[in-house]
Amino acid sequence: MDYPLQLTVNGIPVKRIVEPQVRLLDFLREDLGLTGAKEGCGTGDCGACTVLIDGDPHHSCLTLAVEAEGAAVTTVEGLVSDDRLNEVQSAFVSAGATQCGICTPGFVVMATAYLRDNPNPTDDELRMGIAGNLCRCTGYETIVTALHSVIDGKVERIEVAPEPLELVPEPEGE
Amino acid sequence: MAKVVERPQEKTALRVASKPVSRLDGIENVTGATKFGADFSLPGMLWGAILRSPYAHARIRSIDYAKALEAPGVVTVATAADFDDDVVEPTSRPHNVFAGETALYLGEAVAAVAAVTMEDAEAALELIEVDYEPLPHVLDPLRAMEPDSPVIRHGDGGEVDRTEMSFHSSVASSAEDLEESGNVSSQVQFGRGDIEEGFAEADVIREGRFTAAMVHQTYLEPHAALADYSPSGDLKMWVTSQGQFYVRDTVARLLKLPAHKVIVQGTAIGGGFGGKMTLLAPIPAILSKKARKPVKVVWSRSEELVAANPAPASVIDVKIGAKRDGTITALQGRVVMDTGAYPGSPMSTATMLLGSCYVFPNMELEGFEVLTNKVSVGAYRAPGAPNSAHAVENVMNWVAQDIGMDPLDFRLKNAISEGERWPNGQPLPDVGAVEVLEAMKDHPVWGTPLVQGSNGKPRGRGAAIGCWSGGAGGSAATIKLEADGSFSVLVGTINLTGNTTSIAQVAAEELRVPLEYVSVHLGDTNEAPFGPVAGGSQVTYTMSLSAAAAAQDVLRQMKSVAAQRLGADPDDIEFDEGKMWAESDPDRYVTYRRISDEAVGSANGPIIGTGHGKPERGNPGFAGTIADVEVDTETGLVTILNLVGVQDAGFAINPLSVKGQIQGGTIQGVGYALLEEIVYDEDGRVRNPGLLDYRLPTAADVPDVDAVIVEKHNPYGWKGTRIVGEPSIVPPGAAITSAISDALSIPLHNMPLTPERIVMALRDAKANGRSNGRSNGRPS
Amino acid sequence: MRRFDYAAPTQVFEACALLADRGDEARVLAGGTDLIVQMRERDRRVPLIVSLRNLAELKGISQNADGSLTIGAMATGNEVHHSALVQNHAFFISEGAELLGSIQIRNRGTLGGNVGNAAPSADAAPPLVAANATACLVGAKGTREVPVGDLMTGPGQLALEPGELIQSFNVPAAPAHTGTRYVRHVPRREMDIAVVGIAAQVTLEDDLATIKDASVVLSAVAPTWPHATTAEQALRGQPVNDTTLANAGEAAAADSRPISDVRASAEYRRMMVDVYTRRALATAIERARAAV
Ligand SMILES: Cc1cc2nc3c(=O)[nH]c(=O)nc-3n(C[C@H](O)[C@H](O)[C@H](O)COP(=O)(O)OP(=O)(O)OC[C@H]3O[C@@H](n4cnc5c(N)ncnc54)[C@H](O)[C@@H]3O)c2cc1C
Ligand code: FES
Ligand code: FES
Repeated sequence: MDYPLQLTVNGIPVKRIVEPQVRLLDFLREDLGLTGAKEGCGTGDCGACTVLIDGDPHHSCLTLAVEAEGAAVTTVEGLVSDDRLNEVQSAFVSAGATQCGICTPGFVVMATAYLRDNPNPTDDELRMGIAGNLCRCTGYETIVTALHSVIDGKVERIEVAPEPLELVPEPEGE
Repeated sequence: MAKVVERPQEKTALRVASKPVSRLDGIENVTGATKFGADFSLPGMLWGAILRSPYAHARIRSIDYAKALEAPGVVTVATAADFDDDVVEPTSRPHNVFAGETALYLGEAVAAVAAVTMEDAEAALELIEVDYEPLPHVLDPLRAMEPDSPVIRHGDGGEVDRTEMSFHSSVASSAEDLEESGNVSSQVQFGRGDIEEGFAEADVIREGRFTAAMVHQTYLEPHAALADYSPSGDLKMWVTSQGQFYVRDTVARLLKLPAHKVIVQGTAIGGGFGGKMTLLAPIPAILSKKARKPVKVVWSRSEELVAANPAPASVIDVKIGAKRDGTITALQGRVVMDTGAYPGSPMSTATMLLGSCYVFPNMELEGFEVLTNKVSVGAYRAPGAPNSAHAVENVMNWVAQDIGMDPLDFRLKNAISEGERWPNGQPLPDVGAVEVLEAMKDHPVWGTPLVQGSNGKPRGRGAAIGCWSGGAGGSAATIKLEADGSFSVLVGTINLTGNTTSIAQVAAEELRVPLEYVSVHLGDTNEAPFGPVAGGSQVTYTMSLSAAAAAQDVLRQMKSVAAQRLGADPDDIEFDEGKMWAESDPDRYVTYRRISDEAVGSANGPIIGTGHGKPERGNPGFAGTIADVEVDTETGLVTILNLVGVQDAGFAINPLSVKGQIQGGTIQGVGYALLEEIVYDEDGRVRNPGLLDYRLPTAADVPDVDAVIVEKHNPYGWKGTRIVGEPSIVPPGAAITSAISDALSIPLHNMPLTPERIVMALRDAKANGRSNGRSNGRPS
Repeated sequence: MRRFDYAAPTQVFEACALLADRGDEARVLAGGTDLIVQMRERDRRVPLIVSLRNLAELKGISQNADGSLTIGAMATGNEVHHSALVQNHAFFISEGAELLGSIQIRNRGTLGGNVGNAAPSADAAPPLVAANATACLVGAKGTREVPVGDLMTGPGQLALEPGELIQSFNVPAAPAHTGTRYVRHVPRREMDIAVVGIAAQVTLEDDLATIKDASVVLSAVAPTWPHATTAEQALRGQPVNDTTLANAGEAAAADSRPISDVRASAEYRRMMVDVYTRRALATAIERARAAV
């Protein structure tokens, strides 16, 4: 059975026909080519597939695409604005909070929403808040450090385009 | 703070190496742009799904997939029959893509389907008719060693394949395999001195039997591979694997294709830790070859937990004797390692590592690798070493307590150093065991006596060290000078732990340009020079040498162009920050950009440098952990109060990355110590095939790790570099279990120490009349 | 996941009609945090999914004129957890909801789904039982009220008529001097399934030193969410002291009927029922005293 689906993804209206068993995760990755959300488990245990639905973090692996009818979905690809990373993304880069990087999209989406809703958590609250996202590489410390720097308002948003190289001038008369 | 052995003068002279540089791929990772294994797709691509044995041990009488082929969307089905007999190594897991005559564990692949959608492929699995004859199975390795146990056979013998283990360790176990019998697939012995005399000299002897559970590497990215067999016979693959050349060789051999026709592009890898090699790739390869269409296969998390290659469970006996003055007199040890259905466990390494941190004048070690009807094991970050350290280091702490000595002083008195021998007879180069122990002693946590809390929950402290030999494979790199004077580095080793950044740092350092002038690219197996498997912590260790050599090659060529232009001798050419000049006339220079221009037009052509590297030898890396814990004795829940991870990195090319490795490895050690365990039921079925019941630590379960880098120069590495990735996972399990044991004042013997195990151990101790009041083993 | 049909009716009667019509073939979908997982693991085929997402009657949390509280079946874990109404009314319902998985799970998972899934280890359902809440069931024949404690008949089993679904829960107002607590034992701090869970509601006499009434409901140690009746008896009329709590703990352990599974042995579970019953009661009593 095909089902008409309308929603917005990263601010862009999308209209597609989907089968109801298609998960939002598959829809984003396979139909729209937005592979930022990852599948670490498919059962709600790792958080790698986290996306925002109407602003709130959800597991796209446990959400049928048809259940997002009419919703505004934001993926990690939608967090960059004005050619700059958002604060959480910037803090992750600066603090070295990404090792293999597979958990990173889910973490930055989750943390972006969490810190918006809880701008001043204690360290313990913060750790409980992100406990639905697993990371095997970092031991979480650099991630938590990155998020504290956001909380402390110490983050400058990083520009995504690389700076042009400053070339050595050619010698006079060449 | 801890003492760090450094050479400050040398460091200030460096521009990028030794600086904490954030990952070059950081921006890609945080925007979702990095492409991992499952992120690759092709038009017209099929999806593959795998049928697995429902029995732990069964003869496969027949497989009939006619009905599956007729199902909607199904294009092809593959089984063991699709591989020629002469390419299948009976005892090698990677070469047994599908179960042949016998399924040896529950979850072993029996067939695979390729279909238009994943739903079609999964639905078709149920239409494959397999006629199984269940056979008696054995799951417990000790039971499997008994003469009347069911026996696991892999056809008619054949060489045991230890390739994957050799990626991790450059240490040969000298003892030959002794007589193999029944399910014992391998056996080693190491001896020295006179063990009985050794124990006779001892004033204190302590011993114990230690168990460690089967744990999973649990890289967050499951195995994924995409294969595209073209009409011309090229097989192009995108694979998430620690070794694209290893995948290429395995697939080429299994499919009987020339190596250059199998073109493997390693993708970004979402963690491997030793467990992501070549288990999956042959399946999409054979499906694509049969279907003549691209085929993608992505494992589910439950397939990972049931049918990948986790780290082995073991039963280890250790007995140590020492004199009152703290001199160790003897070590006796016996390792039984459960290798699962195929040989290839790190049993001999684990056995040898029992005797690798201290000087043991008398020693007797033996090890047995035992087959059982469980999934076969693989490598996981310092394979086998956490199991060994758990046993030895707990006993070391008991002995220290009995003789009334500080556990670190006891270790320092006996610590191994340059010229001493490992159990296999190999003399050691200058290792950092002593320096690591001293840094632990100097650490404020160790210097501050543990204060008991007011909540009635006893606290304890544990310390442990461990080491890992590490790989020292050969590698190569090429570097091109680009038109604007920047450089591109081409390598064949995947970016596992940020090593791309380290390689860029090495190249930038040698070429004397800012880091932004260098980019590193992972080429496919036809483009890139050979790169070793990213395992055994060897990537940066060996690739730094080849990148440095390639840079030197580039510089040599550039100097000759510059010399010609400046009318100078190439030997007199100086260079820095993108320009070259003659020593005699520093005011006239040529830019790298000009050199590039010039070279392109010259008879020698554009500048491409090649470099090879292979460290002369491996040089073990040592690490230590200090853990303070608090235990709720009613529930068995443990809170870690302090966690210190010390490691000798030789020379930290990128301290940020080294610290990240120490933190990550230490927290994986917390998983070993407290939470992680693959549990089987009587039928051989994994009872916790998901991440809710196979518990990784979450951010809320772990403390910060105080990571301390010790730098003891390694003469075989670039600027003194040592292996980094693996040692940090070795001691935490031992330190944390030891801290719990200290808190409760009872000996504890299991990993993980789950709340239930702790409560039951306390209850048993009470029943046996042992006190569970606190008595701190350390003199304060 | 296997293919299935999907409907998202906007009227409750439509949903009930679909369910009645398709019988065992149909299944309601709330947040999907249980159902999708079960369907993915291939063992569960569902030909028709009836989504509850468009049913306004199942949403929201409100206080009624008689002082009782109505919580819609589609109220999510986060809504229930953060609701001031719920927290003031029966704190442990908020506490139980807070334990569902992670923030992401609580944004999807619902109170109706937690009861509907009928897992012995549920965390949000036992407080409802301990608070003597009723479920408002709606079907072709209209609505009826059933105590939540009578709804679950065994693991995965609910006493629903064909075509019925849970519309909401009604939680009566508690008497003065009442305090509540839900606490569970798990190896990790978040993201775990209860090894043992205890929902306790205690009402004190005006002296604040004697237990007037107590309700102790067990999770993960029986096929349903039973009251620990012997423990409740051992509490009524007793002075608040360690002996009373110790007796209740022991009685609750004896009341439990745990099994051994991958999460724990029956023996350990029984020991934990004892420990956590004492702890849950101690906090509930503290809260009862503070409540006044
Ligand atoms: C990672 C993870 C962690 C979890 N942790 C916990 C935990 O700590 N504690 C805990 O208790 N649970 C936990 N759960 C389970 C689950 O999240 C909860 O049970 C949740 O409340 C289910 O709600 P849902 O809306 O998602 O239910 P669904 O999955 O939509 O439905 C569950 C069942 O209830 C039925 N149902 C739903 N709504 C109704 C209704 N209104 N009327 C009749 N039947 C209905 C459905 O048909 C289905 O059979 C966890 C799940 C995951 C994936
Ligand atoms: S993939 Fe969705 S939570 Fe793991
Ligand atoms: S960085 Fe690898 S899982 Fe988090």
